[in-house]
Amino acid sequence: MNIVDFRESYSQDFRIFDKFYKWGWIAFLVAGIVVLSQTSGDYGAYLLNLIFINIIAAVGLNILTGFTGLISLGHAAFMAIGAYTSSILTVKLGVPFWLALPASGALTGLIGFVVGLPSLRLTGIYLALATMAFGFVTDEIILQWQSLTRGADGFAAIPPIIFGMTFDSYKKYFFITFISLAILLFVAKNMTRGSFGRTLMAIRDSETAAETMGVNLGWYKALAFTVSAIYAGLAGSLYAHFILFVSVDNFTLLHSIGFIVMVVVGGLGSITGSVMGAIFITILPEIISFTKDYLPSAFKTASSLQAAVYGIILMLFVIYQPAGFYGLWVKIKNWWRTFPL
Amino acid sequence: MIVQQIISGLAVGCVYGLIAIGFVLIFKTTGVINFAQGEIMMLGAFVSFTLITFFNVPFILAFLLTPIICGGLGILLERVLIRPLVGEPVVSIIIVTIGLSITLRAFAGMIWSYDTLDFPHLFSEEAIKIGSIVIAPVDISVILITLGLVILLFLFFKFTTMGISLQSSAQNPLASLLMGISVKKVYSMTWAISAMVGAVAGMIIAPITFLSVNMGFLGLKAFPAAIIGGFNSIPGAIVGGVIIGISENLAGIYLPPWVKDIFAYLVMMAVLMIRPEGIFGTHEQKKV
Amino acid sequence: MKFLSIRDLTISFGGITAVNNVSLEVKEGEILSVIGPNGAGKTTLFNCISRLYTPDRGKITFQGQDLMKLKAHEISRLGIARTFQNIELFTNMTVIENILLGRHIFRRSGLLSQAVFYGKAWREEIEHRRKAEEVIDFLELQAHRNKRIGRLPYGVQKLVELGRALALEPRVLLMDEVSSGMSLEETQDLMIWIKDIREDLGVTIILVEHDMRLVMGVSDRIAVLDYGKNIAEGQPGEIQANQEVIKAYLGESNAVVGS
Repeated sequence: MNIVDFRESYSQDFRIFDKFYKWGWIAFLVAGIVVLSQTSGDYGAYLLNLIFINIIAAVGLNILTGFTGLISLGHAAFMAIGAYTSSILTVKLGVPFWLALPASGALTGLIGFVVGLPSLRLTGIYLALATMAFGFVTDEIILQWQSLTRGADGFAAIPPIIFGMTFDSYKKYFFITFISLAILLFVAKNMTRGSFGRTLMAIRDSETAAETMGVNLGWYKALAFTVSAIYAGLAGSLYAHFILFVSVDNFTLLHSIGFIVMVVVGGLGSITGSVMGAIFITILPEIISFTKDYLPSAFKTASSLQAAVYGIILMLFVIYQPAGFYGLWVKIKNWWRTFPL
Repeated sequence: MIVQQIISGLAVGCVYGLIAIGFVLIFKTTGVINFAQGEIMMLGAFVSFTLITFFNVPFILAFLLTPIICGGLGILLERVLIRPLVGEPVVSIIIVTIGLSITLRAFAGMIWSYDTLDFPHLFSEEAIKIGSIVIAPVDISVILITLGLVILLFLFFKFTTMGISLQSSAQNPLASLLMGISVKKVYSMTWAISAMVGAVAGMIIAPITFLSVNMGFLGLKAFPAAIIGGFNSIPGAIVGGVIIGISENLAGIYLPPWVKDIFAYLVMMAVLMIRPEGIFGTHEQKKV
Repeated sequence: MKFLSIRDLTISFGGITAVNNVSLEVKEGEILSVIGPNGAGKTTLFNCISRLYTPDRGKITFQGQDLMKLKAHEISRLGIARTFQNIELFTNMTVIENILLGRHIFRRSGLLSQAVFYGKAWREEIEHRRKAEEVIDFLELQAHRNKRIGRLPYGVQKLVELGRALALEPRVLLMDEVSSGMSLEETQDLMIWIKDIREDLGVTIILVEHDMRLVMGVSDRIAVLDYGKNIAEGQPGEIQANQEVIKAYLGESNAVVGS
């Protein structure tokens, strides 16, 4: 068993997987997931789609909050912008899905940039509050701009049509979200393992030193917002054509908090962590409703039980396992590696 | 009409201000933002409600007991949740209090359900007429109680040993420790007082607005109040709250109704852009 | 054209004038030490050069470029690097990642190129790693390369900060009390490194220091600050004998003692 790894080239330091055979595991995993999506019935496919969309959103938020240290409580609002943009483009303007998706991402990214510009002057709690306010205001604007968004009635989106094929079932839609996820994860990993990721982390750890090293704080903070908004916008667009109905009720402060929970529980500053966190939080309601029957009847209300568990998990993780699932994963790996056998 | 809106805005603003005082107190002393302050206010309202309607405790007694109970809760929360996180980055602590707010709301929902309840009225429904202005007695009571509480707090901080210890711990915990002040006790006391103030806020607003587990969302409006007043200024919190309360109502008169709901946040965003320290706050700069 | 020129620099904080009409000329290729009692304004001087502070009055020019017109993040592009008195390292990153950040100004590939990470971005990453390894070799930090800053001893952290500044390939290096907290051996190594940096890399070095052995050992010239004023400037021997300097450090009664 290899306790010590010898690197023989610089590229080994920053490759995604340092050993080639690990890609084999990935291929295996991919095959498994594809099989699972087609064989686990409608509900399984629904869940997988939802997990992938949440991973995309969580990864975007992690780039902003985990890597750059900028707290955002308005992430769901960016998703809403993406979702509505995509729905309006496809339904009202007849734009095909494969165009509407990137367009939604781009528009949301632009708005993210504008929101990120003033973030230079706001730190910590002030930024959190500003983004929270942004969320409220955005939701309200969407509600009131009835001519565009149909307000409180919500907006019905249409299933994507690509190459003449209509993706109107969860099983078919799975491929869209899966491929999107693969691409976006690859991009996220690339951005964070190179100098961009280091620059963001530098801003998080010491703004003064980063500036001294030549980092233009305002620009990079705005860029971080842009990237996270693009991810949220894409997630929103994917969500819209998946659920086929968008309304602001799906993009409230509680949802923004939900994404924060995913990122924190998964591990701030780790892409892999966000994947784990998103998976866990998405299937948590299922776990809760499963175990609900074994609990005394005082806890019967599904929604409060779920919320209570959310809150407790969040607190426990921050206090006892601040590195999140990823930290746990690293600990287990190291324990395994150094096991005296 | 305008004067009435101003007065009722003043009353609501007082409540925002009280919740904001809770924020500011904890922030000044420990640097932590307690996102669950709104939920503590909600618990204050519910605890007093339960005491009055369930246990048939007389009003006055309930109003005295509730802050004590909530104060105890504050101490418990500080010990269990915040103490372990001393020294951790801001993100972590903010997230813990967010988790706390979710949990408190959920437990409250389990105990009291999510229905909107009716808080028993203490003051007569009859409005007082001064000239052509009609004022609800409830509003007057809110303003008076707030005033009384603020004066009490002022006296506490200025003239009692504990109050002065709180101030010194906020400015320099290490020096305070060396002076023999138990900073741990101070932190507990801060959370206790903050919870008590929150509880009072809950008790006085419940008759005006509504009593529901989602009341905590009102607490979110206290953030703009604290920002406007300055996040490390206690008088600023009340001033900020009053400004929000009154301007909200005025916005309700002149602008479309939906603007009123988000008006506080629009003001907050504007203040954050122009002068994040607020009116009375101070700006900190790190020395390298 | 003067190399680095500081003229009539003045900055106050509240009621305290931290730097009071300080003028200083730094010659290219020299090792200049700035010394003085605590609170004399030495670090404040550095912070003005780095544009972390904006002085009330005065001018700083570097090779003809007026630094007052630049923002803090534009200073490193000119080739001015620095270390910090209280260590401003990126604590959640490893040593090599910190040093790699010194290469920030040399980054040519844009975000889009990095998103795909092929071609230009890949090659650049390798190039930067090579340069970072050169710095690590120079400062003998190989053993700590992949360790997080939080786990390192104080003296090593100071070296990492130095390495990060060197990765910038600077023309001027501002070192703020690098030797504080270092043992005798570490300080002796530091003296050798400082000389090597000047000889091999051609870097002009300005030191803020308290360790007199170090100062006397490496400096070409010494400037002395006291209460924000420049009270003496000259060769090490002259400064040692200077009455004003002795008075500033040791008080009036010792001023008569010369040598």
